[in-house]
Amino acid sequence: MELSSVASMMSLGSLAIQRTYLCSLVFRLLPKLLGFTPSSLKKFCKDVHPPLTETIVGTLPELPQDILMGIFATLEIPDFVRAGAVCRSWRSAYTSLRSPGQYKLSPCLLHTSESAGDSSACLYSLTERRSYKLTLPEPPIRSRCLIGSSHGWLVTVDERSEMHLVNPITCQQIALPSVITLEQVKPIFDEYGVLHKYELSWLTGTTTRYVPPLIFALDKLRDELHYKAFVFPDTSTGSYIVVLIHNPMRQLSFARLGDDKWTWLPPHDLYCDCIYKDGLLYAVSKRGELHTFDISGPVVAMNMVISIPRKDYCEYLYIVEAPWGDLLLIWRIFEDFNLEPDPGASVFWNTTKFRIYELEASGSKLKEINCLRDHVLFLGHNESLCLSAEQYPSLRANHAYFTDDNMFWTLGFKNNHRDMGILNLDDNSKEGLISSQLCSNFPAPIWITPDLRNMNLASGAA
Amino acid sequence: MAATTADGSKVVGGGEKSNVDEESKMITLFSSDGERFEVTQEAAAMSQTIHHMMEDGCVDDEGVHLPNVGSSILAMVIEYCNRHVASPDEKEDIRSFDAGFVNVEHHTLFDIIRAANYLDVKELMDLCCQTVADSIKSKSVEEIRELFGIVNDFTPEEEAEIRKENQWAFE
Repeated sequence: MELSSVASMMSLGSLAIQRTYLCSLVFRLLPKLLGFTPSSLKKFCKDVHPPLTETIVGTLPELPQDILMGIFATLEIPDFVRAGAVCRSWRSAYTSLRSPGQYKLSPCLLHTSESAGDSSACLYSLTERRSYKLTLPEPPIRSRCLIGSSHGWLVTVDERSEMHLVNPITCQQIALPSVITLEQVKPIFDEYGVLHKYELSWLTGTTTRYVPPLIFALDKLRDELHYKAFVFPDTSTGSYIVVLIHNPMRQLSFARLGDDKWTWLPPHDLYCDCIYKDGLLYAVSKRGELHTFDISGPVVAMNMVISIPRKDYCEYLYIVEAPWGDLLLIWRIFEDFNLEPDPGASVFWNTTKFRIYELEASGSKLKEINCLRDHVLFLGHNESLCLSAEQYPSLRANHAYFTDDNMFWTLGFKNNHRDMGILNLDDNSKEGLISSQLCSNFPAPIWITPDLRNMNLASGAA
Repeated sequence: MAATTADGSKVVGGGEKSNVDEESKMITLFSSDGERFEVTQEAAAMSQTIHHMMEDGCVDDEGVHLPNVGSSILAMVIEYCNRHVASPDEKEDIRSFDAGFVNVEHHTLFDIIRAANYLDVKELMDLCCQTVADSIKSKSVEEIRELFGIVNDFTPEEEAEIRKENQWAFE
């Protein structure tokens, strides 16, 4: 290509884009040359924004879309949402940027507060250090347990121990298969044929002897059964897969959106955390075993990746995919706790440190790492996250942002203080997240990476 | 700083490189309204657009015509480039220069963004875009429109729909 014509093409091309800008220049000069009045000039060039005034040229607010997207990409959600309401061209940039991968949203803390009301949740922004009130669909969010948060969806359990997905920003809500479709749960009906209790059996993949089942009131089953849930995008269908870690013995069951029942994944148990990577479900157990499940086919194929016998079990293990592709296993350590306090004192537990192990690429060894350098962890009931601090300048590198996902609180300590905060991985110093006056203990606060889009899912509605 | 030389053309020089003899070769830039600017090649090369033209040998003796950039904006862009090539290591000075530089009317800022986009001066683009983003923060929609002189081109129905979608952000 002729180089000189490239140069002239470049300027011509820009001329086309800057046409309206040039029109304004023309209007600046023409009156001087030709003695035209502003109103007669208006007839020649109708598409200049804003309408010409006596003082002529003003501001042409339209910037090219890619520049607008570059500007919006650095905004926090509330500012981003407001920018998308300013005018058509800004809204167009906002809509383009909303698609996944385009806009780096940092996680927010979702919590409730007594003053906000039963159907409201508060979204706490780490950068702005303030909460935004969101109104959520029924049943009231303050009556539900929050057991998971991934890809902008909350997984909730209501007072009938039934699960839903809720996007707190868009208020889209999707019912998950009924709890009675889990292998271990049976409904119990009263004399009128109305469901009034659940029966929970001790069925696991390895139980051999019979243990009588337990009976629970509708709202009490969730204290015993549900532990943690995850939502993973199912690329083959464009929908989602929900994975549930549940009792007895922290087993796995899963369902695709639109399924009418949960599918049980025996025989292993004591799972702590899951992720979905390269089409496989990875689940790590308290025993230090890492399993993968291929749930794409009609038959689930399971594989043992690694088995690290540990003398000391860790109750709270997380697995996360680091941005550089390797898997990290994280142990949450509580050296400071008191579960049987003296009269007058209260029960408490405090996270004191995290131990981080990298699973080597060969998949056979774990290597302890002492520092995450430029990365940030988000741990709790949410899908565990390891983010690059460079991409999220408002977050602190080499820190773990954690919420309370301790099973003790579900067994009756609902009003206990929350073990949550920001831990510095260098020196294990801790900092609180939000004043306890502003934040209720139940449902337990949870991290969420908001998603502003309404999903178009075949299995839709609440 | 600009000084007018004997032949009436403007010479905009920066920092320590005001001696335009042996080392720094000069290049002439013409704004859309025909004004002439003499700039060191080094400063001009901060514009990737001009840099590529120089590399590809598209710059003749006359200089480079920039029909998309007016003289007042071009003068500002040149001032920025001169300042940044002059003492690139003095971070504090540069920071305070940058802060003063973007302290202008918003329509001027938009003009600079368009010019920096056309001329492909990345650092200037980033600086100005960040300034615009900072101006948007924590402002209501009406305040943003007023600040940037933007006309609301939604119909009342469209606007109501938009606000309903994310009511919480518009409280």
